[in-house]
Amino acid sequence: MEQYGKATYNFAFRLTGNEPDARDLTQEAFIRVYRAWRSFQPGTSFLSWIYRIVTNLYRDELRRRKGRFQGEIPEDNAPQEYGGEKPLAVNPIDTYLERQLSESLSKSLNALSPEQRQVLILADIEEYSYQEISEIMGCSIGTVRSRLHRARALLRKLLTREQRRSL
Amino acid sequence: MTHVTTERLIDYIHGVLAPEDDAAVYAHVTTCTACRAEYRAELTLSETLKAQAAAEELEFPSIVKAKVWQAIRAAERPSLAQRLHALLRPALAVPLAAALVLAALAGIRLSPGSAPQISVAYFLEEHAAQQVQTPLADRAAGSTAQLEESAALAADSSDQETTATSSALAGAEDGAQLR
Repeated sequence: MEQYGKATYNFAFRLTGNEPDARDLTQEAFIRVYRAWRSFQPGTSFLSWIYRIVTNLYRDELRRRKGRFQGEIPEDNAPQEYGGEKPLAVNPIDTYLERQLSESLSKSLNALSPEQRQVLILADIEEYSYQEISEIMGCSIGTVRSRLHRARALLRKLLTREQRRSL
Repeated sequence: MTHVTTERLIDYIHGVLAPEDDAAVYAHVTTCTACRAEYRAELTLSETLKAQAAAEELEFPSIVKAKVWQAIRAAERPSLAQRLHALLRPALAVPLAAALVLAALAGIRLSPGSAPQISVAYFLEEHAAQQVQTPLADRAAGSTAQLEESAALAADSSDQETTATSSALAGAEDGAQLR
């Protein structure tokens, strides 16, 4: 718990977006880890195993809350396709991020679906491979890839919207 | 040349492309301005997410740790029924029963009314030895008349051994009463 507590708690916080839920999630996750200690396979990543437990608990909690957060997903979240020449204008996200609008980024992240947020956290913050993410999330690598693509496309769109609002 | 799709750029950033695909994207991004801009935008997004996470990193709350240990300890504590059941396990029950039987036997042997056992031979030897050392201390010579008689007898060294033997025999009768 000393070694993995902080990482687990931060992972839970990024998933839930608030500290009380992150505390509950982390607490329950470690209790499950203790109970299921014998089922852990040596040689595999212990942190990945904890993240998988957190992920499952989070999913269960969302179901219990009847997908309360799922309704925030915008309809138009399909990944962008670039068939022709792209505009050379400076991408709005560049200037937006340069301003370090962390609050807007958090807001945009919270607007993603739990699965999209989760795959972004695992891929870009925790730097797990698609294979590891598929094991943690319990889905195929193809699903990981498509979720990540959609999540990033949507995040960029939301950030651009935030930038226009702030101008 | 066809531009690299954003999806492929994302895969490229995450290092999941096959070596030949990775090399092809790398070559294209270095020459195509549009794709390079898109690549940078995606890369900036990844770096920003990482930087944001690092800036917001929280310490592990001690209350969580305390609650986890509390829950674990509560789960480990056996109920009254479990504790009673545990006492019936052979590993505990057999030694416990043996200890009770031994205690019961010891209680019978030490119960009031049973006198301590003294060996007759031991009594005779000890009594005779005392008489040799201090013949006047013998209980049989408690009265004055007997003391005088004993003193007269003690004066006769030839009869001393006989006196000790008779006193020892008298003591043997006392010892028998102790049984």
